Amino acid sequence: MESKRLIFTLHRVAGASDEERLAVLTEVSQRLDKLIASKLLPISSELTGQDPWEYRRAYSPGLQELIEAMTFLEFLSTGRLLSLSGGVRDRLPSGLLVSQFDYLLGVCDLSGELMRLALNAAAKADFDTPERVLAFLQKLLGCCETVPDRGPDWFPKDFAGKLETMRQSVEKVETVCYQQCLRCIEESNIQLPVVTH
Amino acid sequence: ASPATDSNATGIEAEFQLYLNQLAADLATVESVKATAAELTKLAQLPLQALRCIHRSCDTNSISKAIDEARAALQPSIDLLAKLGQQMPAGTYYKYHQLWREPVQQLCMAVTFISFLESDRLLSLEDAASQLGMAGDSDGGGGSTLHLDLEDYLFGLLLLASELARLSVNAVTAGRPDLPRRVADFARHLEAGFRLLNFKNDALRRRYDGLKYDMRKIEEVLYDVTVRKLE
Repeated sequence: MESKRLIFTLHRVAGASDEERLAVLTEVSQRLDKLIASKLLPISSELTGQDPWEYRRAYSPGLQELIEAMTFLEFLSTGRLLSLSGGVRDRLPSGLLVSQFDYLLGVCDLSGELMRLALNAAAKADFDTPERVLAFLQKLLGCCETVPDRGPDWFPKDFAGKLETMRQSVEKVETVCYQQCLRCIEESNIQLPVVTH
Repeated sequence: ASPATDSNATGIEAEFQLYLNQLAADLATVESVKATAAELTKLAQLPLQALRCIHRSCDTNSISKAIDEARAALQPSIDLLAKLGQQMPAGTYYKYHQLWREPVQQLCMAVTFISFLESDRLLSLEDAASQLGMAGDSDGGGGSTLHLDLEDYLFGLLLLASELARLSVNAVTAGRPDLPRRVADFARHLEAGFRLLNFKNDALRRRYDGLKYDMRKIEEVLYDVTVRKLE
């Protein structure tokens, strides 16, 4: 739940000034730390000594949402993809199992948020953000497409569906950038009316 | 028990033993075909990955580079297809067909995409098959050799149509407003061809239904480009 609120807060960055941006990003980062400390640390200590895969299904959805928030924050701060080993696992309690699948699914959901970010930015006449998002997403989609969408029982069944959603998100951003491009061309071609007497 | 009943019982056991042996052999083949098919599915992505770079940069150099990379990436798939052909006993093509249809369709899409990019030409089924090291549909010879099924070829073409619709949009964004017309001309011929076909109510037909949305996108992009005189 809190992760969803964090994501919502991060969306406010679109069209904001540089100081506002910094303020929001810092705030979210702090709230993220608090969230990890308050919710995930207890889980991880409960699970010490247990087989991590046994209880994974209980906290997996929440974890994916959190990863979505973390990667979103990272993209807005640095434009880069937060990595699993360096970024995500470092910030979370070490006893907690963060599997590649949780990361993968979280990243898929991220594409939806980035799509929303791009669309909102375009609506606010921010043309820079959609382009950056597009470059990022196309690369991300290309890589996700190399992951087999089917596997053994414990392979997430919703991956194929999320991949399809990601494709649609990318297409929406592509359309937005396309329309922007057309508009730019139109505007540069507009002749100012010449007033003659 | 009378001798007659005994021999009946042994007869049934022997019968079932025969089935069990055949089943075991069959399952063994299925497992090995499945393993190769899984490998093929992975490899079949690579040429497409190379080609999809075009959506970001489609100047002439980038396109040639992408085509070269895609061609190189095709070779492992072609080799694996040959291996697949050997794993299936003669006359069992359609028995295991479902296991490896998907990667074949994607490979078909890759080679037809390359043909469009290089020469705006629609690669025929025979040519596509020979590029992939398979026999064409007509010389199936009763389904004994590994051949390119007509439906898989058609499915590949429909996949290509969707990819081209996406390319149309990105070509304008990437500074190639001349591409949408080439795509539109190609796609119109493709659609005309498909309209001649009679489909049964299966996956191919459902995929074909999506073609009209791809066509609409392609026509819209062409309209946008033409009306602004961008070509």
